[in-house]
Amino acid sequence: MDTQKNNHPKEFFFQEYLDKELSPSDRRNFEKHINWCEKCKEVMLELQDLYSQIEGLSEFEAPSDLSPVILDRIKSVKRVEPLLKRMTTIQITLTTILVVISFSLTSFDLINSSLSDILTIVLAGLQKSIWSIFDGINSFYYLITNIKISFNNIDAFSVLDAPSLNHLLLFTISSGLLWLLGNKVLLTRINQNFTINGG
Amino acid sequence: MHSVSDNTLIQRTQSGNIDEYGELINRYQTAVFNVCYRLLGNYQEAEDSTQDAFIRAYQKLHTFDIGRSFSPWVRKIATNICLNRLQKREPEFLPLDNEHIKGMTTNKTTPEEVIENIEQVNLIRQAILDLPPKHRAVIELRHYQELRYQEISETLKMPLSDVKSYLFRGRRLLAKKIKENGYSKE
Repeated sequence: MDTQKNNHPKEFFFQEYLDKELSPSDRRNFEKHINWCEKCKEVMLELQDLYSQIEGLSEFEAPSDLSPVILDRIKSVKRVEPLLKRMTTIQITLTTILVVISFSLTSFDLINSSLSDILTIVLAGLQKSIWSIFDGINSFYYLITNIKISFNNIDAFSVLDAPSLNHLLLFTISSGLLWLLGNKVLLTRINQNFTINGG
Repeated sequence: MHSVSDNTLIQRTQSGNIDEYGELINRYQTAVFNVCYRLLGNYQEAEDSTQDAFIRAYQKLHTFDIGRSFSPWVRKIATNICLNRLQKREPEFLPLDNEHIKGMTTNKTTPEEVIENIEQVNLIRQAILDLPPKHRAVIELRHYQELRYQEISETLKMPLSDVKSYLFRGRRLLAKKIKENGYSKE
């Protein structure tokens, strides 16, 4: 800080001095300047006066029944929180069960026919491979060829027709969305009463 | 001096004894209420914010550092709650009655002096309430909660340069307002 004559400190210096935020060296220089500069001394006194006016506000008594009211609200929140957790767990469990059951019911035939078809094909392929093992040169070729033919003939894939798959997907997505929406609405309503913002 | 320290009450509360928190509320409700009233200027809003501040402090008690003092911590929470409230909606200023004021009279004050004191206090209070919310919050934290600039910056989550700017501008506005309304110490 420059304390030569006619170089008065900027306004914020006065405030930082009174707020005790100046560095020790700046503080010393500022005090040196104030001691001989009448104009700055006057500015300082005005600022000190303002500070004492601001800080001179009297205090009010708080309402007398605050403590029991606050404790009641805290206890209400504590009763609801475990309930919210239980409800969320129940919702998740029920929705998961619902989705699994729905998936199983709609796709039971699909899985059933796929598994039996795949098993048939594998057994058929194995059978052919075992028979062709005695023909050393062609056994590997026959294995590959049989597997390739088997996949081309799998009926299971034809079960995955567009309507069945669409119904399944639609149901799963709808269940998920309904759960999310219901959860959000319920939690928002309860949290509005008990959660404080700020702090 | 209290027979049970704040830290003991906090530890008991953290152990699950909520009623011990009631004693903490009793000790600091006046300080917190005055933070809220200085910022909001409305008795009902100040009372609601005071409740919210203590509830928020309870919810965050597990994060409280026992080595610190409880009162500054809960007053900072109250300041942020009031600032959030102000930024949503400015409450109507409702000056409190004289009977609510602590320590306005002494054996040596005359009734006329008491009235004059109250008028001057309300003038300054109104001048503070006329400040924009952030200027008001910074003035509250510096002059009434005696926080350093850095602490104000951390409490309000604003840059240090902004803290100084709001503080200096706020004081300038207050000085102008007080001068315009003819407040005088004499």
